Amino acid sequence: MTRQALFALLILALDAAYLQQALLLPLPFSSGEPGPSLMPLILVLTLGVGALGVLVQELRGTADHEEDEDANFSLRTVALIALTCGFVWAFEPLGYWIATLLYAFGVAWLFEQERLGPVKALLTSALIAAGIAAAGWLFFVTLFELFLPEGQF
Amino acid sequence: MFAELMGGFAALANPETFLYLVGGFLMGLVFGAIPGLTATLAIALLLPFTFAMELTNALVMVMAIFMSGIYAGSVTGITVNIPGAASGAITTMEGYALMKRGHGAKALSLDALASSIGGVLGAAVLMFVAVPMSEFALMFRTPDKFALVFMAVVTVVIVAKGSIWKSLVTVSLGLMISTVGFDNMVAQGRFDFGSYNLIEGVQLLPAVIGLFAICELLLQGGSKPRTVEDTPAFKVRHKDFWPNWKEVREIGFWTYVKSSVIGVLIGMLPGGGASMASFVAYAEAKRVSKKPEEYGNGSHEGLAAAESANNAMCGGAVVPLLTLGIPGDSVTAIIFGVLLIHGLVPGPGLLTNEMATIAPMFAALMVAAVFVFLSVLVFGPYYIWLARMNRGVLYAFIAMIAMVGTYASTYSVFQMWMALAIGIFAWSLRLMSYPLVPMLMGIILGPYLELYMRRALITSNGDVMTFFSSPISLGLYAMTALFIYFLRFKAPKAA
Repeated sequence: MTRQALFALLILALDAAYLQQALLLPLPFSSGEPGPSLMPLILVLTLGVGALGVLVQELRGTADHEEDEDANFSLRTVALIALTCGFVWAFEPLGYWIATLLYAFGVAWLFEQERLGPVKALLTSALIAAGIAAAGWLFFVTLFELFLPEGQF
Repeated sequence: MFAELMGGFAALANPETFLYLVGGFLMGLVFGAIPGLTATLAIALLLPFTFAMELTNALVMVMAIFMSGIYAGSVTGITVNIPGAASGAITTMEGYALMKRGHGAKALSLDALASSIGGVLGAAVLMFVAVPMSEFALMFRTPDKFALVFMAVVTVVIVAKGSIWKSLVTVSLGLMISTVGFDNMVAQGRFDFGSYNLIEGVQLLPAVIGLFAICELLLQGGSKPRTVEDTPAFKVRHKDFWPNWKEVREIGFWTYVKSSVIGVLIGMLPGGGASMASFVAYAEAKRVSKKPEEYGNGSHEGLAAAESANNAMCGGAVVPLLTLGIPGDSVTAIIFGVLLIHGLVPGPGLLTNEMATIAPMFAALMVAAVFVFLSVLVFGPYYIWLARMNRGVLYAFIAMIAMVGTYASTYSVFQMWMALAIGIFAWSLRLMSYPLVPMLMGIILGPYLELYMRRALITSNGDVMTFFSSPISLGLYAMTALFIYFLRFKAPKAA
C-alpha cells in the first residue's frame, strides 16, 4: 500500500471521527428545521467520497503523480515545529523579546548552518535574531501601537 | 458614480494614503519576487496590521500588494528560472530562455510593460463593470445566493491543479473547519469539545497564517540548499530596462488587449486565478501567432500575452468579490477578510452603498499597475539581488511575523496554537500533493453555503425544489455544469 493510500485512510478515519461528533447533534429536520447537523452530515459524505476516490485510484494504480510537488520531510522540519511549539508556549511567560530572540535565532541557525556550518552560523544567527526581534517590535508596537507581552517576571 | 471613482484617485493624493500605496507596492514586489513567498502571503501577513489602519489605507495597500505581487512572481522566474509564484510559470519559460541568451533586461522590461498594460485594462474594466454587476446582484434571493456559492465551491474543486478527488478532500476539510464553533441559527455549540476557545470557531487569520506562512516555513525546512546555478551570472544597468518600441510594435497592441480581456474574464471566474489566465492567454496567442516556433524559446509575444493576462486578472478577480461576495482565489479571499475586519460585507449592496469607500481601492489598482512599469526602470538590477536573499534571514522573519502577527491581532495564545496546528496539517497535505487553495475557500465560503442552504430550506418548509425555483438559480447551475465541462474536460492539456 502506498503512502498516498495510507494518507487517504487517515482522512477516512478523520471523517469517521467527525461523523461521530456530528451524530451527537440533533438530527436534521427532527424539530422541523434543517438544524445544525445537516451541513456536517453532507460534508461527511463529500469528504468520504473524495478520500475513497484517492484510495481507489492509488490501489488500482491509476493515480497521476506527474504534477505532484517536490516536497520532502526532514529533521529540520521537525526542529522547526518543535521551535514554533516552544515559542508559542513561552511567548507570554517570557515575553516578546526573549521568546522572539530565541525563536528567530533557532530558525535562522537551522537555515544558516547549511551555508556556514554549525559553529560559524551561531554568530550570524544571533545577529539575524537581534535584527528581526527589533524589526518586529518596531512594526507591531512602535508603528502600529499593538500590544505585545513583556513577560511574567 | 464617475465623481465617486474620481474621488478614489483624489484619495490617493493624500500623502499618507500615497505612502501606504507605495509601501504596499514595494511589499508586493519583495514577496512576489522571492521564491516561496507570494502576494497571498504578503496580504496574509498584512492582515493583522489592517486592524490598526484606516480602511482606505488598508484597502489601497492591499490592492498595491496584489498588483505588484502578481507581477513580481515572474521576476525571479526570468532571472533565475524559479518563478516567485505559480502565476509566473509561463513567463519563466519564455523569459528565462531570453535570459540565457543574454537578453534578461529585455525580458524584464517586456514583462513589466505587459503587466502594466494588463493591470490598467483590468482596473478599468473593474471600475465600469462592477457597479452594473452589483445592481444585477441585488436581484439575487437566498436560493440564488446558495447556487452562486455552490458554483464557487464546485469551480474551486475542478480548477485546482492535480487530482479532482484531492481537491474534493481539501475543500470538504475547509468546509468542515468552518462548522466548528457556535451555530448562530439554533444557539448550539458544534465540534468544540467543551472548549471555550473552540466555541468561537476557527478565525480566518490563524487559518490563513497556518495555511500559507507556517506551511511554507515547514516546506522550506525540507527543501535543498540553494546551488551556485540559482544565482545569475551577469550584471545589468538601469538603462537596459527601457523597452524597445520596435519589439513592442511587433508584439502588437491586439495581443496585449486580447490577453488582458482573457485575464479579466478568467479573473471573474471563481477559482480562475493568475496561473490559468496566463496559460489561456498564452495558448491563444500561440494559436494565432505568425511565429509559433518561437514559443518556448524566448517568444516576446508569448511572454507579453502571459503577463498581460495575469495582471489583468487582478481587476477581474475583485469583481465577484465586491459584487457577489465571492472570493475567486486565495488573495481575494484574504481581501474579503480585510473588508470584514473593517465592517464591510462584500456582496450585493456594497458598491451601491459604499462606493465612495471602495473607490480608492479601484484607483490604487490602476496606479499600482502604472508603477509596475516604472519599477522595472528603477529596481531592475536589484531584482537579481532579491533572488539571492539569505534564507536564514528570510524564514526567521516569516516565522516571527506570522506567529507574532497572529497574537497581535487576536491577543490569544490559543490562536497561535491554532495557526500552528493548521500549518502542520496543511504541510502534511502539501507533502501528499493535496491543493490548499480549495481548503481556504472552504473555510471562507463554508458559513455562507450553510447559511443560505438552511435559510432557503426553512423558508420553503424543507422543499428542496426551492433551489431550482428561479431563473437565476437555474442559470447558475447551468454555468456550473459548463465550467465543469470546459475547465475539466475541455481544458487545454499542454502549451
